Amino acid sequence: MRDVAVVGIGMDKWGELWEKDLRDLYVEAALLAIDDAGVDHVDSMYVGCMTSGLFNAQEHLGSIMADYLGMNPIPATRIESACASGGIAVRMGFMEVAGGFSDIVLAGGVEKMTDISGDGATFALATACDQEWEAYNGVTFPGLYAMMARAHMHKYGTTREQLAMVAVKNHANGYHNPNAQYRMKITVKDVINSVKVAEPLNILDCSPITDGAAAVILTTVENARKLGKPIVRIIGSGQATSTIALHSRSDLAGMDATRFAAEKAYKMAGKTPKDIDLAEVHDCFTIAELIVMEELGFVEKGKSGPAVEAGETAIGGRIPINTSGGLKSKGHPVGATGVAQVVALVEQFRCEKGECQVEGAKVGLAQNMGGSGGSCVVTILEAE
Amino acid sequence: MSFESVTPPRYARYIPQRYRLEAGYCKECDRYYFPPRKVCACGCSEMEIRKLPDEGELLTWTIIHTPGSQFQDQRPFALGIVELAPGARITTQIADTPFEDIKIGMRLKVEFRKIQSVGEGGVLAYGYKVVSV
Amino acid sequence: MTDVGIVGYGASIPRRRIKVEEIAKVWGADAESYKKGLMLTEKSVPASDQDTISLSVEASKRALKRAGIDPVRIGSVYIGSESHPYAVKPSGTTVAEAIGAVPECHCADFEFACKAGTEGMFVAYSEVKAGTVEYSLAIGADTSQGAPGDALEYSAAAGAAAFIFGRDRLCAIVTHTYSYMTDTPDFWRREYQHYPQHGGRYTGEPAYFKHVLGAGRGILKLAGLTADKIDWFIAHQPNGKFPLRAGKELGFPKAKLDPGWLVPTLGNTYSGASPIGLTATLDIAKPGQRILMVSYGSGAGSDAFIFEVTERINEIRDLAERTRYQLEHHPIYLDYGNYAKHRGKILRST
Repeated sequence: MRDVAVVGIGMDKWGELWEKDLRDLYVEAALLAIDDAGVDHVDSMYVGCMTSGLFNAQEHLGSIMADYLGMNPIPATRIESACASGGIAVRMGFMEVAGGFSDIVLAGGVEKMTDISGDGATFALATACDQEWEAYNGVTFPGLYAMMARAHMHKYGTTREQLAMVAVKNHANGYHNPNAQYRMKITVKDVINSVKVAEPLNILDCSPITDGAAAVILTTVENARKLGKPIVRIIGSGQATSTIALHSRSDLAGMDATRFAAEKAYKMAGKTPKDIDLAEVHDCFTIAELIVMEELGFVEKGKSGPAVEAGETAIGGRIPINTSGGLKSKGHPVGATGVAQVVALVEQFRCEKGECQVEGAKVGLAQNMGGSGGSCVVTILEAE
Repeated sequence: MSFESVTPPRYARYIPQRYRLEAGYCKECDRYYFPPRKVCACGCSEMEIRKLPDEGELLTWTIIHTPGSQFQDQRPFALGIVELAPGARITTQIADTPFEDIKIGMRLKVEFRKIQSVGEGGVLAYGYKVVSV
Repeated sequence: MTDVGIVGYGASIPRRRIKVEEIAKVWGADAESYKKGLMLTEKSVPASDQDTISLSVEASKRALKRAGIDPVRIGSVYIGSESHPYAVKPSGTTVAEAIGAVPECHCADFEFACKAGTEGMFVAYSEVKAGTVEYSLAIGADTSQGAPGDALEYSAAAGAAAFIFGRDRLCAIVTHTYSYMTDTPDFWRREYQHYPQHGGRYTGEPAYFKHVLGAGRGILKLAGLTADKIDWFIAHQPNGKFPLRAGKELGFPKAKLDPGWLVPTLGNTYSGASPIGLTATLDIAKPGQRILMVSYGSGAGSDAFIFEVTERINEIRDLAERTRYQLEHHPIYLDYGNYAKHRGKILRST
């Protein structure tokens, strides 16, 4: 297996981008990444996207994106795993380079969510849960996470305020991110008093609907040196599934797919949770960040609430999480999120983060999951 | 684009489950699957069809304020995960039960209710909800 | 000739309610005069997820619990209602699936204003008597509506009653049946109309009383019985007053009506009315007692049944929730706004 480096990153502003369509978004991010990497060609590409079929009535994204990047006839593969599409696209690109199939791979993710009505978006997103046994009976995504929150609060005494603190922290970080969709600071009170969505979650506990894309260029470490780029290796990658329906999981206050994916990634990387300097995790809802922190081994089960309250996951804390602003502040164009997490870690290693700099960061972890936790991919990066 | 949340074949295929709570039971590991599966996680592919009990315990719940369009008129409504048998849990609305009475651990019983209708003239989709005992 | 009768029975009454005062205040009406005139204080309201089909399923499940038979042995399912959810597609197929009576089962929906349920009971009883089916399920259920501001709005309520007829395991034997019917246009609803129309005071003497008394007298004559030989009397109950008056005219003191006289707090459940009254009566009747039930359906006609209760009633009545228990427990009171929303009375633009 060859050593793989992330040699180029590309990401532009995220938000409600009325002027840009699905193709524009991916192409622009890809071009930024290619430019950043300084490569003159790409051997293969991946497009992570949850459901362009429902959002944009368009499938067959591999062909389109290769076409619009002027890259026909290279192979191009659409990756779908709900909200983990982007992270798995990166993993597939990593495996393709590591396995010797290609030397330079473009792995990008995109979602264009605002071309249809709010109702349509809700319907599209609901396809990530169990259509017949969850969505049919009226549950929504916030509803599923709200039930996890309630189970976590019941089991461990996590408080409503601790949930809100995750959103507050991520907004405080996103405030400094020029690409973030929502760059405003919020307070715990703001969160708790915001519009009710699914109790105990309010609108400020939930990641937004966003248009956006992100891309990375992966190549061998050898190549990266030739290109004269700072070396950021992918040292660990793990992927796992859990049941599609929340109700089928034995622990309603846990996310076992994350735990399994992380175990594999740590093992491959030869690292433990203590070795991680910073992490980008999938805070689709505030409770998700709390549960994921535990499953990644950063805190003991049930202790995530107090840890956030004590500032352990803020910049300057023991394990800074979501210094980019996370999904909450940055936005969540579903298929792009997992790729953007890798972009954020690389920016940290390059000391491009300014106010949100984590001093001396060398090892970063990206955790990206789909639906209510039915799939997960964990990627560990190390800067030389 | 129009979104058909429920189509006749998808709806009717699972009538034994939606109406009669028919689950699959694996004798090898004494667990239920709802809906029934072709294969158990233990590898056994000979499952018995058994009807689930119509009463169970509430494991967690929420109150939904922003549902999909076909449920708009019912908001806010309570919804939870109820365990009817080992391995067989349902995600279901908690009907006709004041929110302040809902607690994790409470017993709830299954009732046959109309779940959604596909637009003004479309199929009526029935299924299970739970109510306080 | 073996006896034919009721093997299992059950009712289903929604938990939601609305009081007469709530309705009266919106229309600027005098609540007290309605309460006095109708002898009714509140009525049941179906939630937006309850309809004739769902209430029929719940009532049938209770009937099955009491009957203690395997549902596949039910050979026919008949639901009588004025508010079938579909104009074309029988309510009975969904109920038959829900209880597991499919696929070897006859089914048709019945319609005859408020006596559709008892007409179904008559046919179910007759099939068992003729020997063409082993068990037959008949249901009277409604979630009917009164036009906003109309007198009927105070009483139009929702509920269902189900009866499994058979030859064995009887809790009540059908000893006599009778029907009295004429073409009397007292209350009707044309196709595509949302609410019914009625003939005001014409719905009294020439309609309800003519047919209820006609059927009552007719069946007593057929059976060679006098009123004192009947222990309990249930009549169709569009309001509290009508059945009491009918009972009086037939020679039944109020005490004989009380167990089945639910309308004061239930409202008029249309095709469910006298059948639900029958379930409440069976809940308390003793072996050997006689029950007379007379329904009424506008258009118009009345079905009459005389039942003789057996020993088995004591074994089965508490195998499912009693009717009065459902009426009295878990009430959820609505204001007019929520009531109107649930009942689809609010004009929507889409």
